[in-house]
Amino acid sequence: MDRILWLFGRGQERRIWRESTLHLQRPLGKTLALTLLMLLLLGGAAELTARSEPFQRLLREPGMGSRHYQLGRKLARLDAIIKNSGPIDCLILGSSMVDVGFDPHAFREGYKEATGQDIHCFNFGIDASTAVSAAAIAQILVEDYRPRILIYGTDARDYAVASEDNDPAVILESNWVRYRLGHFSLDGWLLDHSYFYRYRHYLFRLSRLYLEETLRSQTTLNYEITADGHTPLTTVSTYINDPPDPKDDSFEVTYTFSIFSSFEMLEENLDALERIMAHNNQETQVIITEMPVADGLYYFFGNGKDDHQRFLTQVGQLAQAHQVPFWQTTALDLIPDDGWVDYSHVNTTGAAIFSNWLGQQVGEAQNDWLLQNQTVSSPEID
Amino acid sequence: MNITSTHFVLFTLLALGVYYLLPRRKQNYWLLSLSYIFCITWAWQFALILALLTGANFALAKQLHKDGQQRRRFLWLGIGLNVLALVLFRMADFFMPEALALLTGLGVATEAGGLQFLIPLGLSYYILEIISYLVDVHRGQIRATTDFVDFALYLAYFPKLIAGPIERASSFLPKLANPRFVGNDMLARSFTLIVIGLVRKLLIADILAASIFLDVFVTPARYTPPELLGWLLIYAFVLYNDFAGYTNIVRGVSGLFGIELSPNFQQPYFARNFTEFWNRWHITLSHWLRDYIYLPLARTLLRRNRGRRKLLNFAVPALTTMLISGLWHGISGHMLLWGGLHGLYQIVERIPSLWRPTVPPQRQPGWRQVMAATLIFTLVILAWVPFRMELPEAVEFWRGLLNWSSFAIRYRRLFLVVPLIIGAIGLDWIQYHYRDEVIYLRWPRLAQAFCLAVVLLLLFISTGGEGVGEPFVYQGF
Repeated sequence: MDRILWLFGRGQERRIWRESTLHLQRPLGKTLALTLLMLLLLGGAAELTARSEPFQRLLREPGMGSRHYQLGRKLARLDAIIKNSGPIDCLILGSSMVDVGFDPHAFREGYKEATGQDIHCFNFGIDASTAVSAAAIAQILVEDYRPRILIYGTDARDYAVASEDNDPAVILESNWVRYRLGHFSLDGWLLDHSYFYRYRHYLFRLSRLYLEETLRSQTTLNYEITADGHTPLTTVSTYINDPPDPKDDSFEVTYTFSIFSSFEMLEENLDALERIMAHNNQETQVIITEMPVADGLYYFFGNGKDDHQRFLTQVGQLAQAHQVPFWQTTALDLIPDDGWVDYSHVNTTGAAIFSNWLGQQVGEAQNDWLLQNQTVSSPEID
Repeated sequence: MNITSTHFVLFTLLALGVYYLLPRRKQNYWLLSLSYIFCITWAWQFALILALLTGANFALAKQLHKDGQQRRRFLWLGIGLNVLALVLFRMADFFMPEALALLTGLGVATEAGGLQFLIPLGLSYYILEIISYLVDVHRGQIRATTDFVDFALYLAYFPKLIAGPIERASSFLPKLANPRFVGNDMLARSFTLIVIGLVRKLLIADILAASIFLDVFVTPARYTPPELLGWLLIYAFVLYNDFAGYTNIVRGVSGLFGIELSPNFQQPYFARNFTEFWNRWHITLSHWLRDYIYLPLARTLLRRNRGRRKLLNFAVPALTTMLISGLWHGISGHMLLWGGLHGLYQIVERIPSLWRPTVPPQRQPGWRQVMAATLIFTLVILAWVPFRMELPEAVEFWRGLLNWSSFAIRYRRLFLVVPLIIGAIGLDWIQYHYRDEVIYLRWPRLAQAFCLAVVLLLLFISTGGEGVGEPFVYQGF
């Protein structure tokens, strides 16, 4: 028992470790213990500061351990809108097609037209997301925000990209996302629980005087996100119905070819879609909607429209199995020619039209569901 | 493995855990193994070169006990071998492209950076340790050790391997031969040194270094004179705190093993003359140069030209010593100029001693001491210009400093770092005033705990929670 470290005590002479080299005596570690206490107090003060509004207004939104520039920003915007306007009713998830294509304001108008009621929506579309990363985000958001409606805006690309690919990996490899999905790590736990920890990279950058990348007032962003999560793009493209030039080596063309030329729907992405649909219950209504694409996109598929149709059929079958509505937009030809940014992204004009239509659809569906629920639960009918 | 990394912390903790349980003899084996593992984490070639030089010099030193002319031959053979190794490896930068071209010509595939092992870790430092050992054995000041493990550990001891301190065998080998004790005081002192070192490195040097624009030392003409002066001032504090921080950390780490390493810095920017400056800046190198270059040369000259007050008798040793110091830092024109400038400073400073006795700085009035310290600091930072940049840029930088056509300071970062520089001076002033580098241990426990907690929190922020700083400036020498 001689070697047991009695760190604190009054006896100055009493040895607590007696080896040939280490000669430790009591008292030992009082300063360290006091330091730990101080550190706890200072850490608490730092945490309170990091949670304060002036502090959060000063710095950019923290990244939640992901290299993806949107994840942290959208989470912070979502928290801010809830703080300012109350809980949200619906969340829409998906890739950049949703990010730029879903305008919550136009959605609200459409919903109001159909129901006469207001709805509070947030666009959580994340650039380059796939079904697997969307399912991960869906699980976290449903758990934290319990939305009444969860809409997944989807397209063929969501099923063609593997989860090891950098696009979804940048979300899935975040320790915070992994922690929230049940894979414990200290980093993930700290990201989830501590605002001070979330801001550490910005504080580090601030200590290196990188003001332009840290302070909100000093930062100019390439893409602005609105308070309700939408990234409005105003560019208008006219080529979107034409076949792509085979000599075109732009990223848009080469990337789209690489995804669609031998189109295949990966099992892991279909499983992920089912996980999203599994959130459909009494509390949350899940809706799957096809995101609109321009006619020119079909030229990229190895089998043209057939491949695209395969995507629609397979998603439709899964939706039916889970009793989740799947709304298709291809046949509706919703978006006018000046409503496109490129083959698969709509601009503000396109976003307003699509979102208004979606709002009306959800509104009408709500009416039906309410009617159905009332019918089912009505004691008179029983 | 960077010594400010969490890997190094784990490495040291593991090393200590086993070390404390071993008897002294086995402790040395353990430390030697760890030192070579540490070396291999940088590159296995470094360990190989270190081992080869260790073996060769261990054998050579044994020959120095022999009588007659052969001893002298072996000494010069040893010095020649080590200097040659140093020069060849230090000049690797020059012949690297040629070596690559030759290998490619011979059809030997080489990766980019694959020949970087040609500049081994800590070579400049342990070569000086070897030379001092050979000379001391030759002079009969110490006996050549018969213990190969102790000798190998003297050169490879991992806390000092990267960038010193340059230890003398006469003081270091007995530490390895005798039992070591680590008590409460030693533990507290070592931790304090580590914390001060981390503050200097991560909170002062790294942050100040990040504030300097990359092109300042490449295209100084883009900046106004006050801006150039600001950058130079910042660089002076970066260099000092970086190296002093490193030394504090490794001395602290070594203290945990019960082995004290020599101090390298004692508030050099408070020096009131150049002799004092060199007794406060990179002390172990300065003393090495004094003992093995300056004094032998001065003695030789004194024997030839009797009379202490002859300019040549102190000018030649001072200039030669500082030129060699410059070359040790880098075989290049700008380092030679830096060394030459310091040599010149020392000569000019000592010229008055030719006709009147000099008054030690501490006996001079306070205002003169402050004036002298300011002058010395100004001249030292002006000499940092060729230390930091190539000759043409250095000349351009000096020209820029003198061209007072604009007084504008366009970069707010030059103002933002002022509190940090004041903090750095404050840290030095406390140590200087109390003549105790760990004065903090005498503070009330609550103040110690509060300071330590603040430092830990700031360290967490300044490293982004990753615990890794920038590489040390002096590990490149």
